[in-house]
Amino acid sequence: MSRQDDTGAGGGGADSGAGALLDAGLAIEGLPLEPELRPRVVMHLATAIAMARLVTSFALPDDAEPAPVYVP
Amino acid sequence: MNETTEAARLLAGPALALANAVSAGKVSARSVTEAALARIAQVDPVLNAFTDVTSARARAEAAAIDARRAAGAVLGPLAGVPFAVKNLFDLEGLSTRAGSRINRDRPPAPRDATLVERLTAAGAVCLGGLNMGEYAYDFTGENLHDGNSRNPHDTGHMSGGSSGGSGSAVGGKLVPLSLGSDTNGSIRVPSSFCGIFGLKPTYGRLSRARSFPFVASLDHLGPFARHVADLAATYDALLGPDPDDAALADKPAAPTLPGLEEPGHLRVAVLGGWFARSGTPQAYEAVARAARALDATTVVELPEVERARASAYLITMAEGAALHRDRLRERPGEFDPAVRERLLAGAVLPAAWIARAQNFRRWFRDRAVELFAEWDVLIAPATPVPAPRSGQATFVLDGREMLVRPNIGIYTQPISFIGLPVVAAPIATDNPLPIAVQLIAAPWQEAAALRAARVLERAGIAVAPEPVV
Repeated sequence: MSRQDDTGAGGGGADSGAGALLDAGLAIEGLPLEPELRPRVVMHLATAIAMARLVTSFALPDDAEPAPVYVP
Repeated sequence: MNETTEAARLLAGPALALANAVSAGKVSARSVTEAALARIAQVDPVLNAFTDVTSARARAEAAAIDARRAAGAVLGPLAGVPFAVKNLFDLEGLSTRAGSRINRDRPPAPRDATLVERLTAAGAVCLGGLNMGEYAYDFTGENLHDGNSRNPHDTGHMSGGSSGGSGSAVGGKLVPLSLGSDTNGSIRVPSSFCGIFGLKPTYGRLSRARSFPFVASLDHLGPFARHVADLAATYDALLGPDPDDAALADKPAAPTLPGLEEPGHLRVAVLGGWFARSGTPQAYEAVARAARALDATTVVELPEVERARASAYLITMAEGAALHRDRLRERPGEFDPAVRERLLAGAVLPAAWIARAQNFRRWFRDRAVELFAEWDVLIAPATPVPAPRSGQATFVLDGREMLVRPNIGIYTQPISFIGLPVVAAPIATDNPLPIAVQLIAAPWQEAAALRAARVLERAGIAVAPEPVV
């Protein structure tokens, strides 16, 4: 059995920079976070980073359109 | 049989039979309403499905239906049928709490949600608001503020979420119909765990006006029922244009009940790959039983499902965080920490990731549409497991211990990501805890998914089991 994993997507790992991204982003946004909750938020962000690696590593053509299309 | 006994008997049966009895004057809407209120008073202390019981409203609506019948009016197709809605739907006079503590400060809603108005116009009687996971960011049916909605087949287990009360109320036979929402699986998961039918329509098919949102790109609203014809009739009543929902597609209403008994030739395949991994034997036994009954002998694959799920995960986090940004700043202590911690992570995601996820969404949608050139319906598990125990934090899938909360939706999330219509159909197995399959159709082809569900129901394979409460 592997380590507990939030996603099945492979984890972000300690080198993902999740903590630094979180601290910078929350400071810019002015969002409060208690120290005791921080490890949980970092865990979720590390999961998102792993997810983003999956998404951004997929090659799409430059003219790929986003799903939502604005209709004036 | 006296009227009270007859009303209770009809309440426990198909909604359309109940509506026919009311329309024919065999039982009054008032008696049915009283039977439902009595059932709620008896059972809801155990299930905790309801957060608001609108008994005065229900009695007034029932009296109006009986008066219309007495005056010779033709009643609507859901005449006298009790229903209730996830408490993110506006109900006039109630604060729309969306499972939260914070929203209780909102002023009472001045008007019902569009879908509530449509059911009322069809003659259904609104019994109230239903429990849900906070702000719909949930697969469990657990709620820190209102208590957990419970599974009607074993109250020690989860109802599923986030439309937990909607699943529990119909699975527990408190009401024959309910409404819920589905962003990543929140109709299909409670359908699976509570053993009922649920319909997540095509994205943009049903109006979301005057419901509290979660993820605008992915939010759907839809019905739950114990019988396929009831589900189809309810869905049909919900159809129609609505200028109050900017995401509503300009599509003609396509009622499904008239063709429900004429399945014709449905080309049905089973989804393999991602959907054939990680589930328990019960999940795959359900898929196999459904496949046999629908003559589905071919296994097909959608490519890049894991990336689809990852994309949905990121869009959910980011749009959810954007929605709640001010509340995260100003009222952080009033969130369920399990919700707040994910929203905070979503608040710092680079925008480029979300744009890429939306580009990938169109690519993945195109692959699905290619598949539907050959097939009308695709079968997949709805959930990897039957309902976990309440409070259970981890389970083992494919030999790996994983968190329960995010992984209950591994099969539902990639499908709602591209807005395909799905009927969740409960499949009888030896386990007293139910489980459902997804019957997935091409965009705008809700009728095909419903017809497939009806084939399974007629064969005795898809059935809503009797609750233990």
